[in-house]
Amino acid sequence: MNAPLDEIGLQVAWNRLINIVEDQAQKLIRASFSTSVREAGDLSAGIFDLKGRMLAQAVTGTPGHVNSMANAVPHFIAEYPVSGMKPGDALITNDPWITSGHLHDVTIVTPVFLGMEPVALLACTVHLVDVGGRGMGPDAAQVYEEGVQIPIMPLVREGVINRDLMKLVMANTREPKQVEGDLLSCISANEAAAGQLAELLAAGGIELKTLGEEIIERSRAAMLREISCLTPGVFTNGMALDGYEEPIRLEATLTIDGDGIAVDFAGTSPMSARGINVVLNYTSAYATFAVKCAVAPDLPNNYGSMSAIRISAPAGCILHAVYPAPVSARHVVGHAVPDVVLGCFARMAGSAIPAEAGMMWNPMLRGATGLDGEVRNWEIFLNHSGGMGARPGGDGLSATAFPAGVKATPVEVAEANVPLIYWRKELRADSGGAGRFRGGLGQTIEIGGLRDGPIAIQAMFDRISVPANGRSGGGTGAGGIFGTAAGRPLAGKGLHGIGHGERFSMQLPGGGGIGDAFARDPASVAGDVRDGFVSVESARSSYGVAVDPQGNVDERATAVLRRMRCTPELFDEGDLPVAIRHTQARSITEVTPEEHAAYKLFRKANPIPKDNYMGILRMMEFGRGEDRSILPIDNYTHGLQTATRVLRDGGDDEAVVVALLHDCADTVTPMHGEVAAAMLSPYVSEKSVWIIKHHGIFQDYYRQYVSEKVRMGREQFRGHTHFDACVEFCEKYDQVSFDPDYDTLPIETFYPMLDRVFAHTRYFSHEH
Amino acid sequence: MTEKKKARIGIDIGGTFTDGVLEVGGRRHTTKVPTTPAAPQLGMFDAIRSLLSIARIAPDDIALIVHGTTLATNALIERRGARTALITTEGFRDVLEMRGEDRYDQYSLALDIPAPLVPRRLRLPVAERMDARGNVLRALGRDALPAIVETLRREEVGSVAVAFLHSYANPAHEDFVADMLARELPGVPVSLSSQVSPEIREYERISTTCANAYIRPVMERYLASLPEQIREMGLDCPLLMMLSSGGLTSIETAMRFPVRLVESGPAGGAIFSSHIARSYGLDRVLAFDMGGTTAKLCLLEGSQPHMARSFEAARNERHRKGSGLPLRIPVIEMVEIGAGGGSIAHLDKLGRLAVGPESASSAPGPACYRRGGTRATVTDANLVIGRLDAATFAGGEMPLETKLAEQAVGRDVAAGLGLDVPAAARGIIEIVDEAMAGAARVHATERGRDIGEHTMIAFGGAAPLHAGHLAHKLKIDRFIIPRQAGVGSAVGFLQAPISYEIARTDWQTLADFDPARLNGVFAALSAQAFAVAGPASLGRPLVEHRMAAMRYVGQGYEIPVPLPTRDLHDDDVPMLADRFAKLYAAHFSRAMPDAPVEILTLSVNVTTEEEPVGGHGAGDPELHAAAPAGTRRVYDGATGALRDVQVFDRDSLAPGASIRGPAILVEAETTTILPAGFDAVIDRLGAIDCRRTAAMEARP
Repeated sequence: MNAPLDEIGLQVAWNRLINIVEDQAQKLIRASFSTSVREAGDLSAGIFDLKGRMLAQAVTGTPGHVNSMANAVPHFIAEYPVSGMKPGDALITNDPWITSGHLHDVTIVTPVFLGMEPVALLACTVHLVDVGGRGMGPDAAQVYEEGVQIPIMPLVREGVINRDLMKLVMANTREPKQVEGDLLSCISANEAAAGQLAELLAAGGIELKTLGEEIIERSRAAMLREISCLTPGVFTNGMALDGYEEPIRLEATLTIDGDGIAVDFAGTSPMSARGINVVLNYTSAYATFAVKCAVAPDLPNNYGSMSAIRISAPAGCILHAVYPAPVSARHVVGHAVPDVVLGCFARMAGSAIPAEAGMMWNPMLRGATGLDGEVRNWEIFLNHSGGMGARPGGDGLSATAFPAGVKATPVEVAEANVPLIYWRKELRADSGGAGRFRGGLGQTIEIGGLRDGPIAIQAMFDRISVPANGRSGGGTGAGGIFGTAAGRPLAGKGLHGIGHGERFSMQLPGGGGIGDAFARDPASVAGDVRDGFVSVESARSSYGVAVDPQGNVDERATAVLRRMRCTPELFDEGDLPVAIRHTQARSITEVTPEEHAAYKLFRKANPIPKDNYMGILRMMEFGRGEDRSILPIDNYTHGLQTATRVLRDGGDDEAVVVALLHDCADTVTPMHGEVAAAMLSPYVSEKSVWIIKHHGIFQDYYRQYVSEKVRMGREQFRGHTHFDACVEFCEKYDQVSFDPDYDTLPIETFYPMLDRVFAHTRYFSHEH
Repeated sequence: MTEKKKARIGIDIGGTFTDGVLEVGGRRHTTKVPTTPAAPQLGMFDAIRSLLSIARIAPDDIALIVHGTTLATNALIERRGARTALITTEGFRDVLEMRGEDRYDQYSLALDIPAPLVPRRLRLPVAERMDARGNVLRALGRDALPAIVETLRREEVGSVAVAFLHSYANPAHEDFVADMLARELPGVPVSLSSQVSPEIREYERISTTCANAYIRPVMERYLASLPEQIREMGLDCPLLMMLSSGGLTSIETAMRFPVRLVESGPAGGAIFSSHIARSYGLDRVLAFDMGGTTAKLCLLEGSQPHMARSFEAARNERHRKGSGLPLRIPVIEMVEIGAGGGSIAHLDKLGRLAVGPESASSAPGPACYRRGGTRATVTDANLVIGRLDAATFAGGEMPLETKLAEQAVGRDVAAGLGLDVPAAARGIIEIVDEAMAGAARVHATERGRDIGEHTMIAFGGAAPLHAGHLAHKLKIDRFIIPRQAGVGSAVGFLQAPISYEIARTDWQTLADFDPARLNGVFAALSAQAFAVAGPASLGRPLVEHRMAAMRYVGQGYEIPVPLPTRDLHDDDVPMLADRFAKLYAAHFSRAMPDAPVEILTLSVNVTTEEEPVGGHGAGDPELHAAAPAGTRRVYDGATGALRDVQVFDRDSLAPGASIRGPAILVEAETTTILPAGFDAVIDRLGAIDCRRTAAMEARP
């Protein structure tokens, strides 16, 4: 064979590897007893070289498994070296720290032989229905309570199944038949894929070693190429969650350099005493997923592409749980990891990142009465999702799982399996974060029993106290609400029961919005009102649109509303802790130290939103339509035009923001320079503050119609360090920016710069 | 002139062409006329007139017209259906919008989901509720119905879907609403989920019912006028419609359940293959249909295509599973991939060569068509390496421009890969063939089959070019290129049985087997199916087939298990368990020891018996070496050199003509590549029957 065919031959063989693992994954789904495998695709399948490096992986699968399996295989061969493996062998473990973070997930590794020569390894991970212990839920204090632990060990030896292990596992699960069935399917699927791979290699022409090196090298190079298109730098982002016993914070620092992308989670809250802890492997899986979504969604997943992404977290934090921490419901916190990482990308110029998502709520329900009233223990695991964040350029998807991509169990299927009745399952009005692009809606679900007899629920619900954030001025999604349909509130985490006639009510959280809600097209708001996605009241208060229930917009009233916008949401800080909400204090002296401590804790978990420039922007908007001088341009547009000129001259973020906001207070106070300077002083340099404060006096120099004394007012500052800078600002940008024919950029252009400048109170800090 | 009418016509209206076939006295005449999108029947009438004149037959001699159309599919894809409302269970009006709550593309942050066919303002809730057994938990809120009728009037709704939870188990509430609407809004068609798709899983059932309602007015308008218009042409014969299941039905049924007409064209192709399979006595067949935009693969067993119970229409992202509208209807199971003559080749971000799914289609078309297309396609690659001949393409009616093809392949592929142009073209073909081979392998393993044991039947304009290489890749030993391969679907229409299939969910476990209930459901389904198929069968005898979709308790995917067509008894349980276990083991290597088994959905198919097919084996023609019409320079992928390959004119080859590969067989409709390692014989039916002769590398 000559060189040209080698290249094509290699590419064909690469495609064949992907076909083989995709086939393996489809087989697992079709034969699975576990709802999370077959409905949710909660599995993964891959081919590894003899060093344990992943060469190909099925596209099918949740991110939580996809990337964690890649890290698991080296542990297997460290303990059972390939040299000792024989055809027909298979190894197994469900060690959360080695694989995907909780005991329900087993990973099975099968060696592939060409003759008697081992050439590769095949692995799959699936979620088992039940592994004993307390069942899937957050209540355990240690991993020992969460089920049977299987260290790495042989499951099959030369074609003979390890019956001793099988008996032990089956004795430790509530569903022995189904667990046995799923383990057998894994063995079969791996064997079938091993057969196909051996056949491909036996046909000759391709050696897996060479092919593997090429795949890894090319994929790594491609990933680095994609990363090199990004601006190098360090970007940080944080997010709060409800947590179990107290609020938690996740903090990410993302570094882009020549070696790729590194994400570190230093600053994240410590481990919880309950089973919502995340092992590093699972954190790493979801962080890598987020990086891939943002940077290279189309590249294949393998050792090469993943080696350009490095994930770390300090041991002992909730994203790097240490043994024997409880980890069963790790997805509750783990699923927030992508939004934390994506928030770092959102700080980069030119990025297109959705707002934060309302999360998946997946309760486990239990009862002891069957469909026909007979005595029967049953359990069902339901997956339902909140709204996704708004997409850049589009509304968020309602009731859609992110990041897991999990499929919901159909209502009819659930009701045919167990004696539950869904009384309601529909989209939740006003739950999508307001914004120029609205967040996806959450959903309202009411479930009760078909028969008498109590029903228990394992709640693993977050985003109740802390809702999903918006971006670039978009509003937060509605937080979740959990309780009984009659209004009895229940805690978001833990085991609860209801009696006969009662129903659970779950109002799932909505996603955050993007952009200024007052800039949303009134026709879109009217459409949302007509469909019942947004109420008439919130169209008015959140979007500034006066509309009737039939969707008819009152344009004049809308114009007035949008002009006179008020900003109640800036002061709405979500659900305060009960201790504070019901405070008796009516004067400062009455605030107790306990209340203050509770508030500090709450504030730590819910820092004041960083995008708090909306108030300043709104002040600036008072200048819209203001006609205060001879010049043919209003005060608001003047700000935009000044900023546009600075931007086009290559000014940095701060220079652009200063230009944009220098006259923001002009319509509200005669001391507009001083007021604007004071407002911006925490965020911009002393030089910028000086320019803003004094620009009014310097502007007079250009007024040919005032007295010489007034014109030369700036002279009193000659010699000051910032004198020349202020002259430059006024001469080049401020005094010329009254041209109605100039191509002035819209406010949206400046959001990323505002985001960055207002991200840190660099020059001022005052902790209350 | 005989007493009885003698001729039958099949008409397949596709996106670009309307194909017609007229069968008379064992002979077939074919025609292809442009499709007339604004009024599709006009193209149909053109085709009929053309066929009558080619065959020199009077309109009065036509005994039957069988018709298939993409109209239903296109109405869904182009969203040209009626303003549709959905009346549904209170608290559940967003099922259509929430779908499965999942994302079909894991990594896309800007994922888009098509808007539901019925907007929320027209999804109208009514208080009512059944449980999974069909017991009424909440009575129908009749008081609210007048307000709903008022809304339907005010909103000028053109079609109504009614779909309540668990209506497959008890349709009483849907029936009541239907009666009321018939009184209050006569003339507005009503589609009930308990009739369109009485199967468990609310999203799929509601989606299917809404799709049916959405396209019903369009299809009613079209279908209702056809019989009259055909009579005006002087034809006095029944008209039957092709279904997605590969069966035929009456105009009346097609008007009520137009969703069953979606994808009827490809179904015709599968029936065409099935007929050929029977005439050759082939058990396992891979039907391979490749056109300009897609390739379709279908497995046949016992000469019959595999069936499926669901299908996805109008995918948002072409060929992306999960991005379309789920339809739960009986369909012939097919894998469709974006690989056709017009598929565009490009390099992905890793510098890897990829082909499709984007297609240059017929407009602007491949670069070599000289119609404004500039990007390199599969057809360009075939031309560059000499597998197509620029001068004789399409019988010489559409000469190709090799230079443009070379430029496109050079710029889009060769430059980036550092290959010369012919090697890059060879790479394009290799990749597209591998994509089809991969899909075929995965599909076969999904069905628990070894693809190498199949015989391939190839049809469609581009399939004969690729069949040989695909057979080589799949270790298939025999492939057949039938006559009239270019109009295979329309031919298939004439070979389809009149049939109707209906399914209903009725859940039970084998441990608590209740034969009386099962027999009751089967009897009801059977009566329904006979009532539909009977009038359409034109007096031909009907047979009934029964199936039960079964699985192990706890699983989510069912396996269809054929049942005897008789009442079942308690002592049939071991037979049921055994049939299921055998099929399960065939799919998944091993059955589960003593796991409990359940039955989910029952289905009945009532069909005319297949007509006996003239056996092909009776006296093989005498073999003789075929005379080549010339030679062509073809680029050899293995050596990188050009070599001369013999070219044969298919139309001049007599039965018994035998050819050793490598060779090229040219005809007006297509070109067949016979690779080295295969021998071909022109058989009695005029098909090119190709068999592997040597274990050597088969390369063109």
